[in-house]
Amino acid sequence: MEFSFGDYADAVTRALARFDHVCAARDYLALPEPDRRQARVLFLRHDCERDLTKALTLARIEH
Amino acid sequence: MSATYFVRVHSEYYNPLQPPERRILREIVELGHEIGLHYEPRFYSDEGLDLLDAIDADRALLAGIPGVGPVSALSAHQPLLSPPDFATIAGRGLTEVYIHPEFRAMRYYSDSGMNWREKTLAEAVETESRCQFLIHPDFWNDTATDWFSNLDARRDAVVAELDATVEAEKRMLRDYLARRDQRDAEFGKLLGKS
Repeated sequence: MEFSFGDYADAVTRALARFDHVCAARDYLALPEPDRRQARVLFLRHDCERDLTKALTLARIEH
Repeated sequence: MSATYFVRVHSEYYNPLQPPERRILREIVELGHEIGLHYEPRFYSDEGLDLLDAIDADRALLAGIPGVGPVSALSAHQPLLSPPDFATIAGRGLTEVYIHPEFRAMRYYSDSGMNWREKTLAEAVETESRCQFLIHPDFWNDTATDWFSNLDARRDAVVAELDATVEAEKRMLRDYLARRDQRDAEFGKLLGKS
């Protein structure tokens, strides 16, 4: 897998099909207890070291 | 789909308090995502700041940007180079995603160092049922590139942004100097001077 926006879009599209929840920390913690334990969950986090413009690009892809 | 975007307050490369970055943060939130604090233990230590006080201050700075909302999630910047006192943070009950029990219970993968740890995102998506995946937006491009070229490109972008700011200020200064007497008279009126 390359570090290209196209590859990223493909991966998150497949993630949406496979996981019950692809979510932020806030949204994961807000799930009811049974869901948190049993659901298929991908907690997706982004550490923005140098560039918020690219963060916005990923945020738009995820949207 | 939502994700947590952890933002630095003391980055050498961007300033989240300036207008362009504030607009970006607002748009990220409008897209349904969460803003967290990518807190910086080394910076706090170098500045002689108390860890928890500094985290609270930086969270408040981000949360104070209209449209960003509450900032409750934390992730440590360069935790290996400058290890934070995780026990103190845990004791405060903050949502530090490296150590919070809910997230610690998940398999953890990352693209740190532009190098996949154990699995790529595509592989994890196909094989895992519960995991935490750390992505660094910096590394991603229209077409894949190496880390050093990526850094060069970021420098060029920062320089271009500063160039545009300087040229805009030059235009403003030329305009001011061309109409200085008029502007000084207007300012005198504003101050109530005849």
